[in-house]
Amino acid sequence: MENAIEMTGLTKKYDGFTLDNISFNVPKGSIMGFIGQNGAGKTTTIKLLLNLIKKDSGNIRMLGLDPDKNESEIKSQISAVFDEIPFHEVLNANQVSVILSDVFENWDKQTYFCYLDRFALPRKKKIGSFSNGMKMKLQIAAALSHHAKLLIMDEATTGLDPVVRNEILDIFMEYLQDENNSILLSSHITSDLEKIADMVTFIDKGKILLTGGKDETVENHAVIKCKKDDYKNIESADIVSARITDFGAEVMVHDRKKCEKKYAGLTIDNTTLEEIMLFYVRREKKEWK
Amino acid sequence: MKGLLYKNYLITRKYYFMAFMFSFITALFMILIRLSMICGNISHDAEAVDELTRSMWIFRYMPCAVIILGFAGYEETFFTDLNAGWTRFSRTTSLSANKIVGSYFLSSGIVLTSAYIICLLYLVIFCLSFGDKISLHYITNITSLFCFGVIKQYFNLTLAMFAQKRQTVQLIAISIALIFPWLLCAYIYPKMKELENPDTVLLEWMAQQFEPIKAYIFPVMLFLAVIFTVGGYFISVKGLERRTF
Repeated sequence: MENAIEMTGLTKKYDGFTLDNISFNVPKGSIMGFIGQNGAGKTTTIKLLLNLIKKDSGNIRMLGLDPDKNESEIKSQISAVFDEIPFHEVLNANQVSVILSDVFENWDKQTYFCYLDRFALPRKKKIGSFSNGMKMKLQIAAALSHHAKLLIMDEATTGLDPVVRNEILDIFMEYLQDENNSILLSSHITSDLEKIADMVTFIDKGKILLTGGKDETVENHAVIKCKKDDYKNIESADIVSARITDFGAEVMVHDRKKCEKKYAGLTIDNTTLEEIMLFYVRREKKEWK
Repeated sequence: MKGLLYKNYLITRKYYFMAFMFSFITALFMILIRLSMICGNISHDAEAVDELTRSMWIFRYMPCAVIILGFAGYEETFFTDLNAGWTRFSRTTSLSANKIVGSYFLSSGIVLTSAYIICLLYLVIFCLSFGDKISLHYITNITSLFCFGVIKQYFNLTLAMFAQKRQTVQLIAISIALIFPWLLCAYIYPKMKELENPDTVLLEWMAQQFEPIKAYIFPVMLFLAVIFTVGGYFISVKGLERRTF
């Protein structure tokens, strides 16, 4: 399968934080959910991808090209959306179109105005008076109106209400109807990713903990609910981490099939991305309350 | 480039309006003074008319200074544009650093040149109203003022593009700049003590001290304006290319 993004051994060192040997791929035609808690390294990775900061080591390939040699060509085919609107507050949606027609070679005015109508965004109202949701919708309308092949979103849906978020997720699904298009969606709202992501990559403290298909990741993990005495019989190698309460233990295991056979007498429940994130973040403690 | 220039125009257009309003009001005020000198109460008092004519010198330069320096002050709007995430966004597109910096430099140049033309026109109106000759002296003074505006504007723009911590660098620059008035005071104060009657002759004495410097102001300003424009552009492009977000 061809990849829209290929990252191998990406490293960036800061004082007090290191993005350590990051490697993952985003296949063409898929949505990669990039999850992790605040400060885990999601934004740093995205900035490295976009060459907004310089990498210390590692290789990146985007849309089959080398960003060091073909930066301009790559950037004309991608769209980046951040949590903050880049357009000045005194501008309106009409003016944004005039400006962006000069920025993007393939600017499609008609598509842009279609999105504005669809999102019910006023064309002549100043951006400064837009709500957060409207600003984000405007940014997404702009990002989708120059036929970009890769959409990179950094916490773009954070801070939006569920209705707006759903609307935006639907737009992404439509965008992916074209198999050449791909999305890298960074978020800590795992429910969004659960809805639309094909793949997930989980980053914590600058390291990739999991990467692969979303369904496989969720299916491979499970939560064993048992008494404290039963918990003692679970092998440490099978455990990601365990929540110990007064009533018993909830144990996250990373190989469901193996554990189903091994611990047949115990209750093994399905899990979610949110739970996986929660248990992995506390993996060093192993036991927590 | 057209779209970027259009954006810069849109985010700074209130300054155009303010400058035009200011020049219109001062021109109107000037005409009213002239009319009062011709047909108002003081028209019969030759001494009062002369006094007023003498005190009108400030009107030759003050509005020009306000217009040019006012326009040169609009880079603050560019800073808000840069900080609002536009720079980061523009670096995710195929826009080159040359184009981004060029648009800011070109917009500033257009605005300052239009302010300069307004000032020259204003000077012509003034001289025609008060029967003054349009001398080279006025023109060089206004051109020096324009050059100062260019230096201020491009220095700040370069700083915004190049320095990650603009405010710190600005603070250092201001601190260095403050040394000069201090040195000047250190020079003037002992000289003043030597004068018999410092209060009455101080202004004249200061004018005498500055007389030789005046001859150099125009060429120095012109030279610095060119250096700050060309140098500032290249430093800004380099700064933007190496800048991280």
